[in-house]
Amino acid sequence: MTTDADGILRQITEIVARELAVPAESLAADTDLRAIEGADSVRLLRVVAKVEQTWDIELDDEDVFTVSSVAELAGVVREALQVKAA
Amino acid sequence: MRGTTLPGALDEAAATGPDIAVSFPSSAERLTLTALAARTTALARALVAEGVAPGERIGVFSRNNADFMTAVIAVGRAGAAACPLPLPTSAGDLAGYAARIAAVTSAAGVGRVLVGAGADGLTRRLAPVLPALRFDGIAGLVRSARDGVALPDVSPSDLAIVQFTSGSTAVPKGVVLTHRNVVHGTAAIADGIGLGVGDHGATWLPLYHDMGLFGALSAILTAVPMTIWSPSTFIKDPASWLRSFAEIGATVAPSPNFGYDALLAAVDPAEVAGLDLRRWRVALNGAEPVSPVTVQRFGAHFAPAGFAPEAMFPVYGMAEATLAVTFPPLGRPPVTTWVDRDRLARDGVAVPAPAGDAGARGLVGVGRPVRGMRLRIVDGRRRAVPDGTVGEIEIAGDAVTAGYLTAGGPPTALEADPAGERWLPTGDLGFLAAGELHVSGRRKEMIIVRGVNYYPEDAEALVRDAPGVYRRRCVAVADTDDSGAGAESLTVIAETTLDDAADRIRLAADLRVAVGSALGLAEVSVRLVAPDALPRTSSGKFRRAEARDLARQ
Repeated sequence: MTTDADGILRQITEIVARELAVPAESLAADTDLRAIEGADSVRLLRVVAKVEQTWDIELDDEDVFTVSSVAELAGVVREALQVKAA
Repeated sequence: MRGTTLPGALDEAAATGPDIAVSFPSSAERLTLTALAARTTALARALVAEGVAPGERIGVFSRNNADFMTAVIAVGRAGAAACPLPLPTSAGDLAGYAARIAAVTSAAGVGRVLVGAGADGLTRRLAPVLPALRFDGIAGLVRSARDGVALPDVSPSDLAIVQFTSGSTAVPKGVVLTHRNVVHGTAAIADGIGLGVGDHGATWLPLYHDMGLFGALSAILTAVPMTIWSPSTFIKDPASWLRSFAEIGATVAPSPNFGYDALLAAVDPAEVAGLDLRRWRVALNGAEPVSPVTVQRFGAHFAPAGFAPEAMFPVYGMAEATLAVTFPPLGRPPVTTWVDRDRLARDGVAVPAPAGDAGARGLVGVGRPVRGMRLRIVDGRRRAVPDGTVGEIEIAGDAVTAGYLTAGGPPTALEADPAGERWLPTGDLGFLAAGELHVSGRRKEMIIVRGVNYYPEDAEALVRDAPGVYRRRCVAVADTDDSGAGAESLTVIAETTLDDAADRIRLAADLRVAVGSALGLAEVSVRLVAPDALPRTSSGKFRRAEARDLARQ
């Protein structure tokens, strides 16, 4: 588990690749998650679940609703970690 | 005997089981029926004081929590009708979601929306783009309630709930349900599964979904303990949900077929033996086609945990019936009828075929009409057909809706036949075999994925104006499942003048993404055709049925 910005981005990319069964190389920070073949709402929620487990945080359904890229998801994680550390 | 209105039925349940509780583990809330009834009375008083008019349609926008349940019943107590609004799923786009909420609230004539705990952040984002709606927090209203505000007399024929079966923007259709419908519908469910002392209901389905709402109400109005999780609790970790479900000793839980698949995938065989599912008496499986494969695997996989074969309970229902249409007999394991696939598809007849044969299609029997429900199978001229012949399923009864609220038009009501019976055409196709219903397909142009209905019109509206589509010409068709594997999808067929291969690949991908991301649906494919290839009528309308053949070429 990493908590620096680059590490979070890298680890989320790996989680997305695994959960959506796509090569990690095909994902960029700004890739639209909804555009990935096979990415339905259930699978995307599984991505969120894995992210929550990885950093031991709880993301609000409301916060992840408008998240559409790896970079945005990383942003939500950084915020949650700051809240947790505070 | 229960009350004849939704709040009346709750008051009776609270008198029968004052300390019976409704629990919401995802929000750590627990209310006794007495407390729930009191809270609905307080909210109803506040609504009346706020000037809510009799028959007014009021949106309910909340997570699966105490506020949701309070609001749905309180609105009825205030003489108005509750319209549950869908919450967004993950990775939605705000504009598309706001458009769906706008379509639904406009069709239902909703001006006021009650906001539950945990939905305020979303409301802050939605409110500026939906200026026609007024959002009021439920907690604040409850606090403002004063005793002594007179509540109106509510009649069984008054509207209680307007239930939307999809978030479609193109064809929003609100099913109107009266208090009589709700009371009869929930009683029929309780009767069909023998709900009573010793039972404990459980659900993770969204309460804005008909199966979530009426399933939960069936237990509550029967004074049976009910536990309600948020859908994301289940979706994120189905295995831990199942452990909690087993720990509280729940006996009844509903799910669309995909939920049973999710549990199969999430719980290792090694973990199964550690679970105790002996108390799980009824596992309702409905809201989307029931797969014979899922039913068989689920029973075998969870048998070591004490899951009884007869607990799997494949059902047929819809919001229009205040949920339940047919239930199998209690205590009978699921039955799969095998018929000749070609004869069924080509001639509309169910001819027995060897189980598991390559040319055979297995259909899970969904039982017989529940108490108070009448059902018939009819041909294109609405004449009843014999057993074993496929036709449209029609229903009638005290739990069946009187009609729909649609965008821009008067409410559509069902017409009475010469015998005075108001038959509702369901749009579903099926046949009876030995009195038992088998659902074999769909007449209506729609697909169901994970219990959610999707309409081709919405896909068309999303891509019609995309660059590369020739003269806004595109048609979407629904590919429904006839394999038993549960694979339903939408195919978008668009005309284009592009002929460079790379351009065509890019256009197809763009269209798929546009539809998939706005609808939250992965099951979308795109087919590009030459200009003028889509068949049209003399008035220029697309012929959807013929277009479907293009999609399959």
